[in-house]
Amino acid sequence: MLFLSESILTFFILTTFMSGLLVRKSQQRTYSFSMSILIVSLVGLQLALLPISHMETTGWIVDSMSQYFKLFSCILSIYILICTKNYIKKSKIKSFEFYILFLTTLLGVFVVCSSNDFMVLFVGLELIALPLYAMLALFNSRKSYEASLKYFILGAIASGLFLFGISLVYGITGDVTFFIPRNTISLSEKLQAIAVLMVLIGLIMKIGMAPFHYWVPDVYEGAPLPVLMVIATLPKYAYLAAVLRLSVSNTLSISIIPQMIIVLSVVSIFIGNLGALTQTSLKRLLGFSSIAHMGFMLLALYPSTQNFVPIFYLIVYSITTLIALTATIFLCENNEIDEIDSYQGLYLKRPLHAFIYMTAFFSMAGVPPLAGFMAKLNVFYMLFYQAEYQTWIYTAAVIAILFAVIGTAYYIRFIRVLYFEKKMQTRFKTPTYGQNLLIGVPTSLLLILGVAPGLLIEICQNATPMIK
Amino acid sequence: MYNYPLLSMLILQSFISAIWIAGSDYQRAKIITYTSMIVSIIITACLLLKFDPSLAQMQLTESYQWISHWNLTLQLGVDGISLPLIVLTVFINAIIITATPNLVGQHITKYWCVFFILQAMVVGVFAANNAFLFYLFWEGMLIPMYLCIGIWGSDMRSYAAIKFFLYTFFGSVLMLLALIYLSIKSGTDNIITFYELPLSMHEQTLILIAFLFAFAVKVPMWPLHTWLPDAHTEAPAGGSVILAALMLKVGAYGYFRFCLPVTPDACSEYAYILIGLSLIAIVIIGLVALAQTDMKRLIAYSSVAHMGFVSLGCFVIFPIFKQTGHLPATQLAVTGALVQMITHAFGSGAMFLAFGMLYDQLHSRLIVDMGGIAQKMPIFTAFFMIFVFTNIGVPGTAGFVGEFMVLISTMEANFWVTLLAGLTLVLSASYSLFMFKRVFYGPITINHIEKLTDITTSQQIALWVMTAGIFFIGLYPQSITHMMDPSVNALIQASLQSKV
Repeated sequence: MLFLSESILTFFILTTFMSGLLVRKSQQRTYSFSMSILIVSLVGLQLALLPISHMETTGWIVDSMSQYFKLFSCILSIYILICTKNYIKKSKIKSFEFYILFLTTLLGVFVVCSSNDFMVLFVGLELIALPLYAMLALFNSRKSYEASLKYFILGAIASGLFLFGISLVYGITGDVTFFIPRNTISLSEKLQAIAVLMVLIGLIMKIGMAPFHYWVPDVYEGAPLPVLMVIATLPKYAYLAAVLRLSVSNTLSISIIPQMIIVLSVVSIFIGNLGALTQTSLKRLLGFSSIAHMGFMLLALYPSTQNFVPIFYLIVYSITTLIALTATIFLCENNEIDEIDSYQGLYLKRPLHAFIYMTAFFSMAGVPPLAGFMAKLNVFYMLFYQAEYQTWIYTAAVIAILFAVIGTAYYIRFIRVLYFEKKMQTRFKTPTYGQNLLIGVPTSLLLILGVAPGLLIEICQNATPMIK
Repeated sequence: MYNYPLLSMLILQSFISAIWIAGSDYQRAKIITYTSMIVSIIITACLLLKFDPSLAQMQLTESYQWISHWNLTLQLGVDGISLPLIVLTVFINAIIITATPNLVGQHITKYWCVFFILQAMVVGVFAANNAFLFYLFWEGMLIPMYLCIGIWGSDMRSYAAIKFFLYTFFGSVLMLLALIYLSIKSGTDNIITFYELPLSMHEQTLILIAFLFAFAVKVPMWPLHTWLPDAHTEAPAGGSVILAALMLKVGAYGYFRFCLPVTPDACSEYAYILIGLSLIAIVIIGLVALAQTDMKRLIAYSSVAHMGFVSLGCFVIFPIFKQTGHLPATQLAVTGALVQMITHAFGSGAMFLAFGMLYDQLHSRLIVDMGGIAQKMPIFTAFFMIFVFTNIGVPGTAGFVGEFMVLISTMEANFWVTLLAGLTLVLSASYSLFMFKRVFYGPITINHIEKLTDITTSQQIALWVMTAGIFFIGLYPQSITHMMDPSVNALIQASLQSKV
């Protein structure tokens, strides 16, 4: 039972991989697509229907948090698979491999969600990253090769730093569990802090927060839309799970690490929002905005008693990003249109899609009554709640929120392009009814979550890890 | 009579009809628009009937669970300060919906949709009894207004829309932080509980600054007013009317709902600075208006100048109380400011509406392109004359009431304040009449003017309704003030008590 979902996933990945080779070339794509949907739904059902029991061994944990995170990532995966189906079909890649790599990434997310010590965590992180590098390189374009290489090199550096941190932890405690005992050993707190800092830097680099954010815009720009949909959402659940696990085992409260997380978050918000201001490419813009959003997500981590806030933020963020990317995928299919100015006057011919973009972008900007506002409200509420009259936290909040206002400028600039231009130049595809439904549902979710977030907050509260 | 949740009915009904209109074709949308406009008016009439003007507390309250984790609730309710503004909102929106669609020309169904969402948001701001619901509606207004300016506006619309959005958003986020602070400190986010919350002077000052950023941008107060001339000028007719008649009121409403009772000591400490800013708005902006060559900009600046009276009446109560301890005078000041908020909608709002009708035929905003219009459009000119009079504050029109009440009460505080504020009577008369003379009188020198035709009957009806409003309030202000009095008393009680 301990490895149930992972076993199912691994078993089916291997069978699909083997049997897929036997299927005729022309049918490989359909076969692998339907198998992936089947597998992910199966795992999702298993996660959703079986009661959650708390089990723990060395290095591995199954609790409500891991199960909820796995469930979230299953739902996301199914959505991504369905939305990218046509794109994959039309691009000249070996789509069979795409699906296998995708499922392996999902397996990596599962491993990270359930990891209970640094070694398993590391294995999980690599299991996420390696298929992603390959997925990027799978698409035949210079940009995606470039993105793949950049992602690989910087990801490898992140892994290296992470491993270095783990080795320090092992050196200090003789163990690789998340919990680092204090004052039991003669080594100074500084060394512990450095160890945790290295681990944290590795994670933050993977999340894509300043000052380790340089890969984000480049990879976002170079990634083909289906891969971007994966990179922008799925791994982030795993990284957040890892951060939360570290946070509840008090690893992240050593010395000045909590303060540092706040400072890094504010810096991310600053750099992400300022960087996005001058972008002309939609994907790069989303890349910079992801830097800022990740900053907001981790802003409320401190000091970790009610961790539902970052989870709520991540869910809302992934819904909004997915909406924006899915709308693009449906409007452009394989000739990706990335220039923001090409979208001018979209409102005249595709009013529904203009509305969807608008909702997503206003939500990212945090304008009520959309879900993005609720997410930011929770973040600041939490921050103030925990601040206990420490002036510097209030200052940090003010700075963060003012940079968020600067950020609004580029979101509304995109909306201006959509709505305020009186002629339309680019020819867009006409999405089918089913496709409209596929983006319509999450868009209405944004509107509903903005005024009635109660249910999702409850779910997120269940998904928070136990404090040790 | 049963206790229907009238306020949420009013808000939801506007929302639902907005969504319905967006999904319908023109003919169907027209029917829905007019039906739901009538429904809104009926619900508002019920509100007026059920409201008991002799009570000071919140009435017709509704309360729902919202986010239980933070102990946030959804609470709606009205008192004597907010109810007249809700009535005003529905009234102005009805006029915009009926009178302005043919002035914008395109995407008319979307236009109606935007204005119903705006109506829901503005009513929501006035009816919200808890802080975050207030904030939700307050910010929610930005989206439809941004689209309204950007889609239907004139040439510089993108610039004006973005400027408007960023200015107001910048101000509001600081208020959000202040509201979070207050609600964590008091345990709930009910605005009434903020009134009793003890706050140190330091806290009050910071909270007041945060509030001022939000409200002073919206009102707008000098020097944060620069978004307004652009937004007003570029917005379509309906957009300018709703900006002048309702949006600015929302900011001023914030002064009364938040600044005065939540941070009374800080307000009292900095009262003279705020009064000074109001006087600058009244005098300097009045002079700026005099120099305008663009007719819509002129009306926009006159709008800022008149809103100066609202903030003046709001903050002058502290010097009055300090120097004389005379409560009726403070009451008069606050009531005057509140009445000014409503009459301003009939002055500036009506002028923007009338200008929209003129612009529809003329396609120019410059005063030099006009002249002698009175010969071609006599009925329109007569209406415009009335609006100019109420803008000047001629006794008998609505504009007189609020300004007069504020002027009398400032006398108790400081003679010089009264003198400077009184300058507005001269200034507003000069810029309004000067503009009126150049636009409507004189010989026709431009061919364009020859082709003008007088306004249609439906347009006349809209202007008649506005005129009726002007004279009704001008001759019988009691109709509004008797509703306000108990609530104003309660407000002053809360504002003149120290919380330190």
